[in-house]
Amino acid sequence: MFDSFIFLIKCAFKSIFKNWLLTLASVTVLTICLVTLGSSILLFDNVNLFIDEVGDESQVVVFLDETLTTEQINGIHQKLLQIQNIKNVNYESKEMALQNYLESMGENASLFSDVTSEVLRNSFIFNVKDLTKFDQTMFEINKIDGISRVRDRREVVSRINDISQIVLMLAFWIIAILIVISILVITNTVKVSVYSRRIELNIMKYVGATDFFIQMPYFIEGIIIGIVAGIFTLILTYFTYTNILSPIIYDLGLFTPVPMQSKIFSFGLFYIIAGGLIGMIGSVYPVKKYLNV
Amino acid sequence: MIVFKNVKKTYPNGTDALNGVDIKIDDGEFVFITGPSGAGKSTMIRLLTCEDVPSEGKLTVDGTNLKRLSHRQIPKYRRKIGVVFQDFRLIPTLNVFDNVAFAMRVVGRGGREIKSRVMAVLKIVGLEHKISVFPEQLSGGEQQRVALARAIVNSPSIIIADEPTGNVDPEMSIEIMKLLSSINRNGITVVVVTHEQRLVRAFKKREIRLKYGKVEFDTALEPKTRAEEKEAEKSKTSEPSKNRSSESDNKEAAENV
Repeated sequence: MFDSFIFLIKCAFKSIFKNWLLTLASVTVLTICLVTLGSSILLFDNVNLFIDEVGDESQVVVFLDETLTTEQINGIHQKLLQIQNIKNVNYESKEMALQNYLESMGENASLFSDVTSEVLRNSFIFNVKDLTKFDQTMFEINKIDGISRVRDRREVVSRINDISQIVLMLAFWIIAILIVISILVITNTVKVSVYSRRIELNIMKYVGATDFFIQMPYFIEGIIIGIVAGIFTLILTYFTYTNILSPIIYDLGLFTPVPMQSKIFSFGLFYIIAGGLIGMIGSVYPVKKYLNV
Repeated sequence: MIVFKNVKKTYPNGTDALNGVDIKIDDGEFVFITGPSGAGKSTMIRLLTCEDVPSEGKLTVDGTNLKRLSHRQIPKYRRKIGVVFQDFRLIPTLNVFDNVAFAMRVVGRGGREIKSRVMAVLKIVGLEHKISVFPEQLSGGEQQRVALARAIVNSPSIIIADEPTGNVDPEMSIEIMKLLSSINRNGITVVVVTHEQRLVRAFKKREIRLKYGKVEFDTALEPKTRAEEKEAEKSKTSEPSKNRSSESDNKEAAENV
């Protein structure tokens, strides 16, 4: 059994080196595909991080009617807590609001010494959990009696959602197209290597080799191409992201980029598995034709 | 035992390659299948190697109905037969040893067993001194001997040789046939498809002649002399001069044998 396994591995490597130019083409296309795939994932991680940070800044503030009693305010608090898509619900009385405001003014706070809390309103401050359900959540909040005004940054949220959707769609199609191209290129590589070894395949069939045994070297070839592409992708994405993209995002000061160091293992595993799978799928079809002898 | 029972084979384009063939080949027999081009010889081989299935009738090998073999059972069946081709079908990138060993490797045999068995069969075909030589460095006859070694290396019970002497010189043809005969003496059934009547006459084995997809004559069923008469009559009327030279060749071949 072990001898057979060694034999199959040898066959796969022999074929890889014999058709090295095509192997190189396959590895290159698959690497491009995986780099795009990995970049999209990193982009999403960063967009999500950005959305989270923007989400914190764009807290929703609901101002209450001036006439409400403490009991009624408690009632609104309870209703808000029952809404699933909001978190960190905090009550801010007008006195607290004034104090917070003055604190935020710092040295200039003395300019507002005449201002009393009466000009402000009691309010609830909270965050929306899932920004894609922002409108629906606001609709529920507006139905609560006693709320005079809601302050949110709907436009910002909506724009972020739109951008995120477009990026998602674009990435999906680019990845889908690249995966198909990669499979086709690997299919072609394996096809050439199958053709160049057609006598061997023929003899294999005549002496009673099983389909599994005949297919194995090509599976291994596809998987090796995939794994090599996966390793190249990991090296490429790691260095490009850590040394070029991450510093740019950091310098722009928008948010702290997702650190790749902590994800290197999961990314590596992902690239290798994705590459291996694509390679394996690409190697199925060309051999099938020769198995029906 | 190989049994063809009213076997018919019609290809999708409507060609009737075999048209009701009844043949019984016993274990350990040596049989020549002869006949003109288009007689159905290749189809018979394709059916025996499970590359095709009969359209009608029943074909059994050692009790196995080949029509009923599933795709997954075919490899196991093929290990019982060794096939020799006219064009040798050796792998040019492998040396003599590896070409023969290849047949054992692909059926999952182990390294030590491969080494001893390959050396043994190369000795049988007289090529034990050429284990490191590549096919292109060998003569046609030597290449066919490697192919023969590869066919017997997995110890099959049947050898099917499709025009094994088609690409080798007359002297070497006799050598190849002698080898097949000695393999047959060890109890292996040998089925040789050939055009070369001189070899058939020289080796005096059972001959099944096909014509238009039917058995024209079978020397196991009618006396050899009668069959030979028929053949001689036909040859005389068609190509008298060629026949004369062929007869002299046969004498020579018979002497060699």
